[in-house]
Amino acid sequence: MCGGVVVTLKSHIRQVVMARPSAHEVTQLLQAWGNGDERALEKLTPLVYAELHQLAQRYMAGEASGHILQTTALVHEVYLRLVDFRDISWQNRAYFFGVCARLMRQILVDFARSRRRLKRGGESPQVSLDEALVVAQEAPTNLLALDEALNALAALEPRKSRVVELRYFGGLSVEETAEVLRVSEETVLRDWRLAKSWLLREMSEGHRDEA
Amino acid sequence: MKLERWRQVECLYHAALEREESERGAFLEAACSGDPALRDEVGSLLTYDRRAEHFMEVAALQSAAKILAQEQAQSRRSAEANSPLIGKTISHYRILENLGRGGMGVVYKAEDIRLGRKVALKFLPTGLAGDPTTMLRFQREAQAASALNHPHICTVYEIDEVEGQAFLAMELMEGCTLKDLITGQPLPERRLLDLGMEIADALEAAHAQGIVHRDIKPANIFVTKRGEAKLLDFGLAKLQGSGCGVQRPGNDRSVEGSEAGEGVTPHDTPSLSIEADEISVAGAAMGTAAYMSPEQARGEKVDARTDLFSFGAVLYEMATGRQAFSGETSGEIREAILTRQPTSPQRLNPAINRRLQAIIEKALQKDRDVRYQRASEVRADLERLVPRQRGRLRGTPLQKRWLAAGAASALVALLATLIGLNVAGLRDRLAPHVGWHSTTSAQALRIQSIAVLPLENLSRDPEQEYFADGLTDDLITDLGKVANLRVISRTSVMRYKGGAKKLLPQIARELDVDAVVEGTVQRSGDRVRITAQLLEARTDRNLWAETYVRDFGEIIRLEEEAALAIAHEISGHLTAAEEARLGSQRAVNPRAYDDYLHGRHLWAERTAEAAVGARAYFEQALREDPGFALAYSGLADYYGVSWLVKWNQPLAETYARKAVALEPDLAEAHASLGVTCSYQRKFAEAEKELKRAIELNPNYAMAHHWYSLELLTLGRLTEALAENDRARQLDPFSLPINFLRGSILLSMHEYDRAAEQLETAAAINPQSSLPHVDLARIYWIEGKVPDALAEERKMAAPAHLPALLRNQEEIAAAYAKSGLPGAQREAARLLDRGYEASMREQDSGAPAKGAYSASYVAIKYGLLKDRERTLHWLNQACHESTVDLTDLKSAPELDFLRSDPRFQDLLRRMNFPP
Repeated sequence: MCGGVVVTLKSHIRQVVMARPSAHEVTQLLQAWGNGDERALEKLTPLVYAELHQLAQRYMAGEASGHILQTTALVHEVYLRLVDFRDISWQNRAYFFGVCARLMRQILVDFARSRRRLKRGGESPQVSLDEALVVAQEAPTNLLALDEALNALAALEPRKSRVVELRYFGGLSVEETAEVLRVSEETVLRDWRLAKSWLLREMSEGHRDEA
Repeated sequence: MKLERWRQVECLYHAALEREESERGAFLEAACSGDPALRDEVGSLLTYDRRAEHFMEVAALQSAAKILAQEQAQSRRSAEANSPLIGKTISHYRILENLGRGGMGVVYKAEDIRLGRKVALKFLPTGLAGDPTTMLRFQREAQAASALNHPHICTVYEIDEVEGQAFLAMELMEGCTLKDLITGQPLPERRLLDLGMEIADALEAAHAQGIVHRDIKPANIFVTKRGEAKLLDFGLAKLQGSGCGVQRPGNDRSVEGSEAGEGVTPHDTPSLSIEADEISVAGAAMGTAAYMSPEQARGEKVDARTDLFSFGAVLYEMATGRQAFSGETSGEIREAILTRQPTSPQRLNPAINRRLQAIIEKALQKDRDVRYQRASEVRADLERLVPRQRGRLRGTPLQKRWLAAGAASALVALLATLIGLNVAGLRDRLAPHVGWHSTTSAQALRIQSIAVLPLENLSRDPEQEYFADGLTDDLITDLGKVANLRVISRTSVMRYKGGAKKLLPQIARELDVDAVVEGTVQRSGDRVRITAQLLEARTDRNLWAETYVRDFGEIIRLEEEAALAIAHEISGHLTAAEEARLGSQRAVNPRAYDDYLHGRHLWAERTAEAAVGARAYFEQALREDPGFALAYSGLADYYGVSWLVKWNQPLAETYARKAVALEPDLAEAHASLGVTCSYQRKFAEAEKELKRAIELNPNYAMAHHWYSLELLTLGRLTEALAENDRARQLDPFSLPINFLRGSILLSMHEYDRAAEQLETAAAINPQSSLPHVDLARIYWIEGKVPDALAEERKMAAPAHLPALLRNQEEIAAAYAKSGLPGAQREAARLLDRGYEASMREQDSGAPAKGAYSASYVAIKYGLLKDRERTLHWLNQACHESTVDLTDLKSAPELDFLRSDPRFQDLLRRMNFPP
């Protein structure tokens, strides 16, 4: 009866000894990408995907039993695992937050794009889970439409677009966002509120054709 | 859009948001006059403001993860649908058919080949079986619950893992889950009670073994075809809680499938197993959303009481057909669980028994200390609702007519429950606790004394303070009507109001009580919400808690309810007389009652200004309800007792008699009448009335106090001291009661004890001059001149009559030179003058302190052994309707006069019995 358990244990040990880029390496990759090195993205993407699967796994486990996942702090955790912020000087912290948020945006929008291809490829779209997950259902934001709307917003006023990028994709708090952008928290909150309305309108109206 | 234009839009957008929604249109119209395009642009953004409230609430990474999870779930489900498992043999189980998805995975009917019996096999989600220690813990727990062999816990035969797939083999049952049974409709009450009691039994058995389910919900409660409840999945939630963060590559088909082409192969997945525990602690508070307890929602440690909350949510759903907590998102549900009170069950299902509602509300208390503490308590309460052959109580409506005010009725209901707990059913009810705390004996838990701490006013409005205090008062008064239960009086509990909170056991020690009631009152408009809990004083342990929400004017329903509650709780335990007393009160109109509470609140402050305000409120109450006995009793006390205003004993007597006539069984009325009779030296009637008051409400401290005063006046010192003891037990921190004790001891010539007691009284209220008056007397008698002088100064310092202050000092100076005949005369002259000044003050209607009454002056002359002057002033006192002749018969200063026939004649004329 415990045989399976031993197997499980072994697979864990195997996992533990497996190599992954060190936090220092990730930091360097981020810096490189921030400086325009697109190859760095190829190495960073799998790391983010691994996190994504990790999260999905937790959703699955929650879904199976009707349990839900507490949503706060997850993105921060991911960052903490990806980047060792202790490596980064205080002056650079804001910069790295910004790079991370941008990286997230790019990877996640690409992810959404690939899903859409997958759907069009013939697999039946699974929009909502069964009743067990109903309680946990925040309708997933349409990332592709948001990305486009965000570009439009950036054309109008770059700062508001950045606020959204940092908060939504980067998972930064109001305080951190204010730090990165060197504005007051009050400004971040006002930008965030207007940007949300603006983006939602943009997305709703942009999607009329498809609907 | 030009940047300038955009700035304009932005500005107007935020400016509009600062205004009420209804005003925004007009605001924009005005701000954008002549520029309709601008108005439309801002207006259109504003329409999105509300819709955008939850937009992007969840971080992008999570949205993406959810999409991924949905895909994986989908592919898994399609894999399950054409399950290759049917007909296969796994371990020693041959799989027969798919029974559906259970609470936590797919369930198959299977045959145990070795034992030849049919079982249910439940396959657990792959992600769960990951961590070996967690798995072991789960096995232990599931099997421990199984080992209870409880009729209402589903038996787990075995837990195993084959090829990385964990499964449980368990008892095969026919029926459906409670979730399928409810389907949006309330269950019949009897069904609910039966299932509820069975679930409670199962939980009690598990909790007794230290096993917490953690995931009680309708989907985890199976109802067999025979109608029995069976709890499923013990231990599973714990597995869920700590092991889900662990990823196991290599055995999750769906993960592999969906990530092909994404450049991530399973062995690329970084290991996070070391951090697994951290992840689940920091990031994921687990628990079935809608049934989760507040502590689970906060990610705190859970205990047995967590199950009781979830159980409460299940009861709620059984009773109403609706979930207690719901929301569009998990966040909203969490929010609801943490902060919101669910809709009252009775509003969703009017047929529901109020007492069942109370049980549900108690189980759903957010603070677990206030909740039910044990499943057996829920069971006992449910059981009480099961109809029995109790025709007498259920069938016949109570004869009594209840004309109760809303708040008063709610209080009566509350009180009834308390009484049921304290006096009557207490031992039965607490019996289970005894087993729980093995060191506590049943004897020790019998509650013979209780303190009602000031109910906390939760209304924002400080004006409502009096209302909370008034209800506290009433609770004290009403509880006081139960014989053999000592209830601490108002003045002694009010010191625990607000401010720095003392620990309960300390309060209990100070008041010397077995139990404490504390609670809150919130009144908004006509709604009154009262929460109360009964705590075992020594251990701070919650014995009972209840919430009442009522309309202030909701009368008829409350009558019935209160009557029923009382009848139910006290059946067979209260004497008929007690029952009658509880039932006969409160023939009041709510507004009059409100005024009365205001008045008593002010009266209790014992300042001159407040006393005058109190009188106004009592009078107002009588305008509302001219037949309101309590208000008359309040007025009687104002005129007859308060030493802060000018006495008017005849008026006090008139009001007291009126109160007695209106409500012959009102203890307050008889006490008010008794005390004014006593002050008027109608000793026989005073004694009769005071004894009657005590009989009607043995816990009315003032009745004991005034009776003690009467006994002191009559010179029955031993009895006076005993009566004072009773008053003091009920109201240990009352200034008048403590002061009177000092006076009695002084009359008993026990100067040391008297001085000590008076110091205690002085400490209760340093502003009061009373204790210092008697302390000075003691020191003068003992010849301790400096001490006496010090007391005289203390006595004078806080006095309300600054004009007399100097006189007082002069007298003191005169006494300091005592022994010289001339000085004594000088002192006497000053005393006379002081008296006259005092009388003038009183005549002018200003608040007076009785220190310069004729009898006070007489006592001073007595101290000087000036026989003639003493007798002169005593004669004067005799005509005065002052109240401080209380120790004429025993004052040590007058000892030298006692054999004087003139003194004896005086006593006769003053109605003193020989």
